Amino acid sequence: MKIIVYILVIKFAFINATRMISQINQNYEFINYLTQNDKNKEALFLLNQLNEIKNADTLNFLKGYNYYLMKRPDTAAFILSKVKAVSNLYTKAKCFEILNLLYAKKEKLALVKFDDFCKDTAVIYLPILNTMRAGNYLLLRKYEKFDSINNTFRYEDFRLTNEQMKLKELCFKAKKDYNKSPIKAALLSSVVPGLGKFYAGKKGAAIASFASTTALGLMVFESYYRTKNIKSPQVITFGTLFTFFYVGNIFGSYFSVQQQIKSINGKINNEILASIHVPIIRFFK
Amino acid sequence: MKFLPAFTCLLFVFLNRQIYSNNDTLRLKQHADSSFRVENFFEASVYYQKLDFFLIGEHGKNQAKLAAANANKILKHYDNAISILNTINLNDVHDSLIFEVKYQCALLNYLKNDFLQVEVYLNQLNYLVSDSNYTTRSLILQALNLNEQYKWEAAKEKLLILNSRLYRNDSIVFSKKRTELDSMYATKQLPKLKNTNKAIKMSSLIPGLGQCYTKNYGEGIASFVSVASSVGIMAAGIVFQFYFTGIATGNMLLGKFYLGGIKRAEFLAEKYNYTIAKSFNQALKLRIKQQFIP
Repeated sequence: MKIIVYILVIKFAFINATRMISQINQNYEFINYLTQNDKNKEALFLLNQLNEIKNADTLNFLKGYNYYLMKRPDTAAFILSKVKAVSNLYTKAKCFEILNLLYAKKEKLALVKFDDFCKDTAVIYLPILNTMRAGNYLLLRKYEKFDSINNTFRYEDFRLTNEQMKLKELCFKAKKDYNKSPIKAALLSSVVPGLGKFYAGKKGAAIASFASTTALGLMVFESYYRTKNIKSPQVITFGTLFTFFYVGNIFGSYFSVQQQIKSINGKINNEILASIHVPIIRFFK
Repeated sequence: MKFLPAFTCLLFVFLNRQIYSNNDTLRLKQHADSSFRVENFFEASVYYQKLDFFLIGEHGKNQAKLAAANANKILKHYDNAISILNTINLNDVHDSLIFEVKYQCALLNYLKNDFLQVEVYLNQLNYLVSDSNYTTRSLILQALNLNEQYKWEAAKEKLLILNSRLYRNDSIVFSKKRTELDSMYATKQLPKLKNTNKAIKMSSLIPGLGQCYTKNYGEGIASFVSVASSVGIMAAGIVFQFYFTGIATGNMLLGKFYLGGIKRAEFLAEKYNYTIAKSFNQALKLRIKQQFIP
């Protein structure tokens, strides 16, 4: 009788344990399903219920990954940084943490995070890590450091080749477009109204500025020609308008180039981020 | 004391049975239902989706999906609800399920003011469901949707069909409802909408006339005066021999005021139609509800 009781106790314990494991696996599967179907709020809701997933690293990874999909890079990076080095998900979490830091415009902090990889991991994942690091330097506009990594690219891994070439191309673009000066634009506009905007690459705005300022100048001239009096109301009115337009156009050209630089840089940065993002997705799919 | 081992055996057998019988899906359903009852709709939605994920039987899965969509509807997450409903497999299923899915999709689109999509789902419903008992239930939604599209005549027809189907055996109620419908949709009652193209043409012909047509007399006069002033500036420039100044300034102002006036007339006509139809439909909705929804 005792033997039967022992067998039943063991069986009960075994069933309970397997049931718990299967339940955890099922929960993990369901949360994965929610994550893949853009139901990130629902996934986070379940992840915040303590009993759903017991493993802290898996929990933190999934939470961070869902925040990343919800485009909340700061929170995602913070939670992904909690995944411990012993976890299987560590490398993936670290790569996504760096990516999220880059999206959160914390490029310097992201650069430090590359040191967290142990030597063995760094050797195995060298191509992807180098691509990410090169992108990081490019975001910081440190061209020399970018070039030093870029020279090591072998263009052999199909998962990285396109993006590595794209980064090289973006480096040239960033160097080229950075040369435009707002002061030069302002000076050009003071010589010929609209020329500064033309220099900034806004041809339509340049023609409009030139036409409006010239028209006002001609109105001032006509007023003076008819009245022969520089203090006549017509000359003063159109003269004031002309001055406003002329000075405004100089300032406009200055800010236009400044804006242009910002916009081009933003566009280049977005392309750099995409060139880092895509290989990470391919690598860890 | 000698019964203790036997009792222990029975206890374990009972506990073992508990593990297998008290299965996870049942607990999930209970959890989802209780969350729904206490109006925790988000949690209910998540657990109904979880239930759907773990269930194997098609019927149970569909019920879970419908419940999840309902929870999302209450939460006003209409797109979520529609996407859940659209995952229900409608091959070889009973008319009642097809009706429920398509009707709910149409209703959710109506709630999010996507009236063209409502029409799409209602057309699917009418095509897929042959049982007239079900299609009768969708007639009110069809009428409400037609009202929103300013198709009041068609809406009235739908309600007349509904009236004949519901009260064909009770002639008194039938004629009473019929009279009520006639009064609701009487030609005099219907809002007189403004023709947008007409407003544009009127403003193109005489600046400000389009605005007056939409009953914005102040704006109409202001538009006319602005255009006339621009022409005046041009004429004055020519008369006083300020040719360039007059023509350039007058042209610039004329272009802005004239074209701006036309666009404004178009906008005002649309705004007028929207406002007048909205208040009429609001009142109509209430009366339809009183008449046909117990």
